[in-house]
Amino acid sequence: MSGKTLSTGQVENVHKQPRSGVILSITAWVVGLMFVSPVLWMILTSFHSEPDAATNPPSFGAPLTLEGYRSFFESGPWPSLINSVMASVVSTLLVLVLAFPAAYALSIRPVRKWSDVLFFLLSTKFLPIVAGLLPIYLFAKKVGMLDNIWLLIVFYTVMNLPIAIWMLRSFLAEVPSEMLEAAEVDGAGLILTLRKVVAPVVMPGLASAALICFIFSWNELLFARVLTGTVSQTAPVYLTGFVTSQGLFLAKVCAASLVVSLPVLVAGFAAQDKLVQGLSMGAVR
Amino acid sequence: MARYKGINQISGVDRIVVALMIVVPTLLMVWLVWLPAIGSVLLSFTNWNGIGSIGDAKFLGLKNYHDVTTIYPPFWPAVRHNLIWLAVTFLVATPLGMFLAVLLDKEMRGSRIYQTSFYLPVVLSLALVGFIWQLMYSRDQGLINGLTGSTIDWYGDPKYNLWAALVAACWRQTGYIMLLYLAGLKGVDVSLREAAKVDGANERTTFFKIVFPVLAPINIIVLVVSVIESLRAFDLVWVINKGRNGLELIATLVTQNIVGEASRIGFGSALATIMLLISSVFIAIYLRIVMREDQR
Repeated sequence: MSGKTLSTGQVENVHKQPRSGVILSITAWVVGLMFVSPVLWMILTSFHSEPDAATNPPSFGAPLTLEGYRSFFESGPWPSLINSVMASVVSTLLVLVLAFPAAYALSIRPVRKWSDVLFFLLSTKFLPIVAGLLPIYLFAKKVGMLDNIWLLIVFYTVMNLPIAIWMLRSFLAEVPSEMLEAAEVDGAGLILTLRKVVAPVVMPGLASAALICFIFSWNELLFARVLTGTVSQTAPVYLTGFVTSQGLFLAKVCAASLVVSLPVLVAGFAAQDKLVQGLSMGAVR
Repeated sequence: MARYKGINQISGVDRIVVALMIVVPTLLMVWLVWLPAIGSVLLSFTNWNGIGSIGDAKFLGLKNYHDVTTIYPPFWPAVRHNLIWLAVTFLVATPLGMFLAVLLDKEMRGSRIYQTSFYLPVVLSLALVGFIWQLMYSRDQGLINGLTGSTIDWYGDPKYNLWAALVAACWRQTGYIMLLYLAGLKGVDVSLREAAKVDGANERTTFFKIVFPVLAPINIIVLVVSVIESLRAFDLVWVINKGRNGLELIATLVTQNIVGEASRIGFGSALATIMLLISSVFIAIYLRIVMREDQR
């Protein structure tokens, strides 16, 4: 319960800014710095040469080099990176195509009572995916889809649909009904209304849902591991293999980790404020 | 093309279009998520080994479940680890995350960078989080041993590895919880806070009487999220050592049994079903709250 008392202290400090506030700010900054230090250390190590990366005690001031990045890219990561881009981008597009109409249908009045459907869709998101893994594996094997990137694309689409529908629905709730009525008066059909009236208003929602779906699919490891082989392995699968085989070469492995996580970091920064909403669905994976 | 008759009544064709918009994603879910899950439940009553034809599998009733709880040594440790995982992530990450959220809500100077630094681990995959901490924990090359001179193998020694993994898990979860509370704090009525100030309420009272009640439903969401996350804490443990030697979790046992060398499908499915049962209780609680919030 220390959280509560400390935060109460902070409330006091806002208006009487002086000394205690400064101390608190400094403490907060130190904690923040400690928090990012593992990531900073990884970044620093990735720019060290292998001998410097392996010293004990650690050498903080060693000269910087791009050697680690060079040897990572020489190890042939491109096919897996392309697979990952493909799997996350295509599945994200599919999610939007399916989720936007569904969210619209769920948010307009005639189907209000379908909130049970929404309930069902959402519950799907929280199932431990391990639970369905084996039947999916067997199914994929039977239809000859193992080690096929399209299988992953389909699963990532289904995996991210509920959260996208949920997010988009709350954006759609903010579309003023006068706009819909105006479209109706002008004689616009359902599809036209969706395209010309609703879509522009929910554009920010579409963008943040897309970023979140991208992050989730990019990070996914379990399905990717079980359902892909050499041809369609994704970047995280490649990375775990790389860590296992090259684990002793720290600089190389740190460089690899950074390259593989760069897309989600960029997407994460772009979605930072909107992510709160997606996260409250409890679904970062 | 049928005309759109406003949001109260829509024409026959549009009604079908609207229905399809919902039915298609729902069917996809049923087919690719629920059917496999039900498949696991059914397999859990058989002795199928995954190699022969599924028709040869014998129906065993509850035998797999009996075996799991009585003669499978890693099961109870895994349950215990899952419970420890839940307790620690909840009790450590929750107060920390709440504290940080309140701090950020006050918009302290530079709070943007500050928020980003806590938010950073949230977007990273759990597998990567496991590896980042490997850099800290490694016995011979790790930063911790390098700075302190200790020779503990943090990830390898079963005395410490669960706790080491938990530090990494909390590291990520704190930012996550912070974001949840931050979203909740946005809902605190500013005028109410002002009024309390005018009435001369001290800050402590203001927090407990005005801010905390708004956060109350979030507390439950955070608890449920912690439960669900602890049941799914798979990737992190898997990259450390595939969930062995002190790091057994229910999810890793499932994976070891169905895709591992052993290939005891019925048995692994029983474990998966147990996981499903536990999580569905919490999923139901969580959704009740989320839906109720949504309807306000």
